[in-house]
Order: sequence, then C-alpha cells, then structure tokens
Amino acid sequence: MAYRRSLSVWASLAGTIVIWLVLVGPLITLVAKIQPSQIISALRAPGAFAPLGVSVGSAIIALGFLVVAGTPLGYVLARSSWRGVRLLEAGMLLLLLMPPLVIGLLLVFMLGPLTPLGQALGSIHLSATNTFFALVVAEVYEAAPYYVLGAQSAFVGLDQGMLDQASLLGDTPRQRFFRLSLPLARPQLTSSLAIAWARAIGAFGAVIIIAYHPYGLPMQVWTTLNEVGLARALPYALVLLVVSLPLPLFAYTWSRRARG
Amino acid sequence: MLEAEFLVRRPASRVALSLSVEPGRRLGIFGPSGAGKTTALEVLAGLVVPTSGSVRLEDVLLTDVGPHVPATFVPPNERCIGLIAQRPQLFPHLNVRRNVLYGKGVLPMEQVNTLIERLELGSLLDERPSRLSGGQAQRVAIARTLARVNKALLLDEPFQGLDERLRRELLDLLDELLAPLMIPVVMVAHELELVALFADDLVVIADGQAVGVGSVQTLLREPPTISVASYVGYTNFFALDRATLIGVRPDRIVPEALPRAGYVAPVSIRAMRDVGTGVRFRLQLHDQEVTVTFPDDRLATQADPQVTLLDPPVFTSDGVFVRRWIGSVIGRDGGRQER
Amino acid sequence: MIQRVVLAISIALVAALVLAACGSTSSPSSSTDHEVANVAYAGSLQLLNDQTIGPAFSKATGDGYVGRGAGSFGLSKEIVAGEIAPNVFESIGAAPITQLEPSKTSWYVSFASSPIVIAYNPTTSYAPTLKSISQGKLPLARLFALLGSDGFLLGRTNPNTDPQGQAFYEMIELAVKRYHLPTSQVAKILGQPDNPAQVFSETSLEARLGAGQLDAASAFESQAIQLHLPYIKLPASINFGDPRLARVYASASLKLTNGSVVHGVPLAVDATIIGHHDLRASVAFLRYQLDTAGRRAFTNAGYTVFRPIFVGSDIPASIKQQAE
Repeated sequence: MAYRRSLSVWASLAGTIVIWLVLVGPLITLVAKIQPSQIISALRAPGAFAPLGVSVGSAIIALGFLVVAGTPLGYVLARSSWRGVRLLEAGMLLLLLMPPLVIGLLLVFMLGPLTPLGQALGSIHLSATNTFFALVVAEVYEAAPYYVLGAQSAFVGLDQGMLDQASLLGDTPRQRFFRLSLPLARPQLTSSLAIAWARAIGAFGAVIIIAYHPYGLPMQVWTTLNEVGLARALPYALVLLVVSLPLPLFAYTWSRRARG
Repeated sequence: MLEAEFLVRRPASRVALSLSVEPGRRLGIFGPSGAGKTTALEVLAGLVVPTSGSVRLEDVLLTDVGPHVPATFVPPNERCIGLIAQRPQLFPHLNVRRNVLYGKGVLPMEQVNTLIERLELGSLLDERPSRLSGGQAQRVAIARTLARVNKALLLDEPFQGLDERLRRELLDLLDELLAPLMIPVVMVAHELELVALFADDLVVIADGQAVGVGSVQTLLREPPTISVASYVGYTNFFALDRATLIGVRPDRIVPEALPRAGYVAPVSIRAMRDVGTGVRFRLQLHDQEVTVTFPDDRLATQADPQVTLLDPPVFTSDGVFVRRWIGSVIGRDGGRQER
Repeated sequence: MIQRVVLAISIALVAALVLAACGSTSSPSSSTDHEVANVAYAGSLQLLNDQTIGPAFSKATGDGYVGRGAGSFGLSKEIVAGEIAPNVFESIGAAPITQLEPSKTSWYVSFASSPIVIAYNPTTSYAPTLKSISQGKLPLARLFALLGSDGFLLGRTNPNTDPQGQAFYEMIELAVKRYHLPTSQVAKILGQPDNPAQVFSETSLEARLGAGQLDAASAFESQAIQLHLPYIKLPASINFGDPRLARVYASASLKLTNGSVVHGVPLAVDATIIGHHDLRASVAFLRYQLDTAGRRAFTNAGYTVFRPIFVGSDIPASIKQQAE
C-alpha cells in the first residue's frame, strides 16, 4: 500500500511539473535563446534605457491613479446595496472582456484631438495622442478592470459581523473603512495591484493605437522586431521581465505571509 | 429603559415584535432558528432599519420609521449599545490591547484595567487574536464591549461553540460584570437552559412573532398555548379526556408514583439504555412515546412501572392553557380559584 | 484529492497536445495532388488576398491558400530568422525582398503598384479646400502649403518600419522640389522622420482618419478606395506608383533613426517564391496573380496593374511565360 501511494504522489508531482513547464515554456525559450552578449549590446545601444524609464514611470503613475480611484470603486461594488451597482460591475466586466486593441480604437473616438474631451484636454495642454499622458491613459484602461474587480473581491470577503462590531464600538463609516476594512483587505488589494502592474507595464494593444510614442518597453520590442529582427528585440523583452517582476513577487510573498 | 415596536418585512420573511426592558432587567428572546431573533437584535442595534416601527432608549428616539415624515434613525455608532456576538469577532490586525480600546466612549483607564484584571487578560495584552484560544478570545470580546459606556447591552447566543464548562464560566463572569451596570440587557438564544439561567423575562418567538411573553417561570410552568409549550420544552401532549390535554416535559418526570406531586401515569418500557450520565428510557405513556433520562434504572425494577409528571400544565382540546394540575384554575373571568 | 485532480489535468493536457499535433499534420497538403500556397504579404494586401484572390485561386486550381499579412520589413526579418516559413512573399517595394537574398530567393517580379495618395476626412474643417484641390479647382501646390499650416493634423506611418511611411516622407521632398516650395517646408510639414505628433501604427492611422481625429493621412490609393475615404491623387512623378520613374523617385532620400540612408523606390507590389525548391502551389499562385483574373482583381481594388517586370536571376520559367 505504501508503494502504491507514493506512486500516485509521484505521478501528480510529475503532472504538476508538466503543466507548469507548458505554461512557462515561452519564458524558458526566451532565456534559452538569448546570450548575455546580446543583452549587453542591446542595452548599450543609444537611447536603450529611455524605454525602460518610460515604461516604469508611466506604469507607476497609472497605478497611482488606479489605487486612488479604483479602491473606492471596488469598495462600492462590493458593499453597496443599491441595485444599480450591478450595472457598474457589468461595466467593469465589459472593459475586462474588450480586447486592448479595441479599447485603443475606442479611446481614439473618445479622446482624439478633435473630440470634445480631446479639445478640453488640449485647453489644459494635455494630449491623449502619442504622448506620455496618452501612454498612462492606455495603461490605466488596460489595467483598471484587473485592479477594480480584484479590489471588489477583497472587500466582499470582509466579515460583516466584524464590520458591525466596529460600528457599534463607535466608528463612523469613514473611520471604519480606514481602520478596519482597508487593513483587512490589504493583502488581497496588494496582489490585485501586482496583477494590474503587470498589465500596465506590459500594455500593448491600446498603447499601439493611442501612444505609439513615447516608446515604452513593449513598443520598443515591437519596433525593433520590425526594424531589425527578433534576436535584437528579445533582450528588451527580458529587460521588461526583470523590471516588472520584483513588485508582484514582493506583493505575493508579503500577502501570503500577512494572510498566514 | 429600552422600548421597541417594529416590523421588518423582507421578501422571504416577516418579523413583528414589541418589547420593553427596564434598566437592570434582562430580557431573553427565545425561539427556534430562523424565528427572527437575530433580526430583533439588529433592529435594536441599528444595523437594520425596520420597515416600520420605533426604538427608544432612555427616552431618546433611536429609530422611528413609518409612513409619517420625518423619519429618525440614529446610526449604530452613536447609540452606545454594545453587542456580544456568537463569535468573538476580534480585529485580527490589532493586538488585544488595541482591540479592547478600539473606538469611542472608552471608560477611564482605571476602570478598563480593572475589567482586564477581572477577565484575566493582563498577560495577553500584546498578543494577536490569532494566538488566542477560543475562551481567551471570548473574554477579550467581553472586555472590548464592556470597556466603554453602554446604555444597553445585546447578547447574541454568546459563547456558542465553546464547551459546557467554559460557557458556564463565562456566563457567570458576565453575570457578575453586568450586575452593577443598571442597563437593559437583551439576550437571544435558541437553547432554553441558557436563557432560563440568565434572563428575568422571556419572549418566545416563532415565525417572526412573539407567541409567549412573561417571566421565565410563568412561561415554563404555565405556557399560554400548546404551541408555546412545545417551544419551551414540552415534548408530548396526551389527552386526559375528550376536552383536556396534559403537557409532558421530560425533565419534570420522576420514576415513581407520587400522587400528591402531580399526575401519575402507568407506562410500559419500550427501550432502555445506560448513557453514562443516567439511563435513557423510551416509555409508552397512554398513546404517546416519551423519551426520558432518569438517574438510575429503578423504573425497570418495578413490576408495574409508573411515573409522575410533576405538576404538569393542563390545556383545553383547542390547546389553550387552563390550569396547572396542582395549582390554581384560571377562570373565565380571569380570576383565580384555588382547587 | 488534489493529487487526483492534478493527474487528471495533466493527462488531459497531454492528450490535447497530441490531438493538436495530429490535427496540424493532417492538412490538405498531405496528398501530393493538393498543395497549399502559404503566402506572406504586406498588410495593405490583406483584404485583396484573403477575400478575393485567395479563394478564387483555390477554386480555380484546387490548391489550398493560407495567408498572413503584416509589415513588409517585419515579415522579411521573420523569414530571414526562420520564424515563419511561407512559400510566397509579397511586399510593397523591393527592399524587404532584397534583404532575403541570396539565401531565401534570388529574384522578384513587380506587377502592380499602389500610388500614394492623401486621404482626408470629409468632416474636417479643411475638407472643402481639400475637395477643391482633389477636383483640380485649386492648384496642387496649395495642398503642400496647407499641410504645413499650424494646427493641421496630418498622419503617417513609421518610416523606419513601413515602406509607405518612407515613401510618404520622400514624396513630400519630391513635391516641395517640384512645386518650388522652400526646402524648409519639408521640415514644416513632417518634422523629423519619427515625429510623435504624426507617426501612428497602421491600424491607428486608419482608425483615426475614420473617426475624424485626423485632417489627412498618407494612404495607398487602394487603401483609400477600400476604406471609402475621399482622397487627393498625386502626379506620377511624386506618387511612387510608376516603376518607370524609379530614377526620379530615387532622387529623394531619408535618414532613418538607425543612421542608414534610404532612397525612394516605387511602391510596387513585388512578389517572390521563398526557398529555392519551387512548390507547385506557390508557382501556381504567382501565375494566378499575373494572369487575367488576378490582374482584374488588382485593378478593381484600386491598384495600377502593368506589364510584369522581372528582377534577378533563376526565375522559374513557367512564371516568366505567364508574363508574356
């Protein structure tokens, strides 16, 4: 019997590794195909670090906006008893379902230079066409549903009995949010933010439509691919991975510890 | 004084209650699951707005809802009503000290420290709730609720899920701590023993309304109807004659004939089993099967086994209480006559 | 319990992979009688190839057709790197093909051209003026003055990666020369080659023009017709559409971001067969393009079709014959 049991344990372990290998395959290919010399020469090219700065900078701003605007929205979606909230939720789901390319095209209709909104932006010297601001906008739209729906899930999981206690002990709704709801939701909010970060920094579909310039890392990979070839483009992909990994990794390990 | 009269109408249920509790008195709300007990507490605490009705505490209107305008509703954080719930609900990200001192209206530190000592929490102040045992967590919950000024206290089946001994201990503790506070206390439970021990007055609730109100003794000894009787522990009713029914409570039966103590009935023993704490008998009493636990198997040694129902209630065939077997008769004019 | 689930999933995964592998190998080309023309083409040929020529070709010859469209230079890079393996390659302009020589091919045939036009948005405030220019009521020189005016929203593609982007840039140079405008006008109209205010991806360009967020944009004549956009035709000497004027076009040049200098080439549809073993289906596909039916399809789509011009060596005889 002991022999039998260990066989099934081995089989399931092997199965798990197979699944993981299949899913992680592209990354393994990336690491296997690039030689260190290629990375160095790609990064040595003039202006090679600019896309890195653009990607990181725009993603940080996009995420900052999402935290400030998306957290309360997630809270309302989770805890409001108003029936119209279902509509709001459907809206977020639609945004999630839309291919980023389509989001980009629709943003042209919404924020193009000759639209009312586009002109309003123009009057405060902002443009949503091929600018850093446009890049941030594209990243926000691509990443927003991931964060908002994740925040909603975090707040839904709050124990109503605990929240009631806090109210009875004297907290106003606002105090309760900051003193109880937010701290309790923080681990899950952080992991949602990590996912949103990954989506923002890797945003491409909407970016290629409304923010062809300035080049972030994904656009850099794309144009290098078209101009020079895949081999020269891949190092930027690796840079993208290296840069975007630490935050989500940290967030995941921290939230696991916090939950444990 | 805490007074409330309200109706909560929901898609699947309806709760209509009226109650009042003097300061220092304890009201028990007792009934089966789903009867509406928790809803009642939620209305009192301000966690639920009733469809119509009012809640008044010390002459301050906390809730007033109805077709008239304007409505009044004081939110739960301004009511100074404390709640001790079924589970401790401690805030996991704060240590014990900060849990106890959470919120507003906290008493002066001297009094809080006394409370902490009484509840033996002194050594646990820096611990996180996840490191506490069930009993310790409940004590912290008690401390947290009582560490502030409460004008009324609500208890929702407290100490559920703890073992008998611990429960009793905590109830005694709570009893002591509440005694000096002259505030109305409302306790909700579905276990009769709990509520019988703790409460002065009882409201028996079923299907969203009160079916019996009165002191604990009255409701247990003289339940107004068979229906209420069945909620407070009467398991069987047998017909004495065409117009009379007698209620049977398993914990008010003795395994011998004592005609001066109550109603004597011959029984036949269907089954018998030693359960350690006593001997459980399944008896045939007239047309009823009754399960009773006696301290020993004396009954089985009798040639013609007989039991005595101690002063049982007597009902009409419509299920209305008439009198106790030994006690007084309630006449049609409401007056009492001794038998 | 978890172990069982994992085991079941991995078995399912392996089974799915095996099925997929089987599915991909049993394609219509397994029999020698029916081969597949696997065509890689410049993005602007997508509609024409996928919806008209491809199906018609399959119907006429019984061979299969499979096509993919993308930027010509990008496709060229992928073919060189071996990442894709089409057997026919159609690009706009010869540069993407010459990059494949000599390993992948040694020749190309030029048989249609798509001149550059200036497509404009009919709802823009400049539309009436642009319409008059397109009808010849106003001189063409006015157009190039207009393009340089403040607030005019002009769009084009990236000259570093797109033949149309390069040609448009060079076209402005030629136009400025032809209409005797000051040479500074080129910079005024275009800015730098990679000007963020004007350069968009192809999809974005079309979307913006269609959404009314650009006043005018560069386009192939065929594109403007397909998208039902009004456009201004340009004279042959500057529209990169006549292969006989190649030398005129070559007089315009442009420095790319990577430092290299390119000279103008006609925007001809150039096709070649990839690999030196000519698959029967790929030869058949090219013959179809050069035949009456193919030529008619191109003309209907707005291309200028001319007598095929062959460049290079080792051109398959059957294709050369078709051209005669």
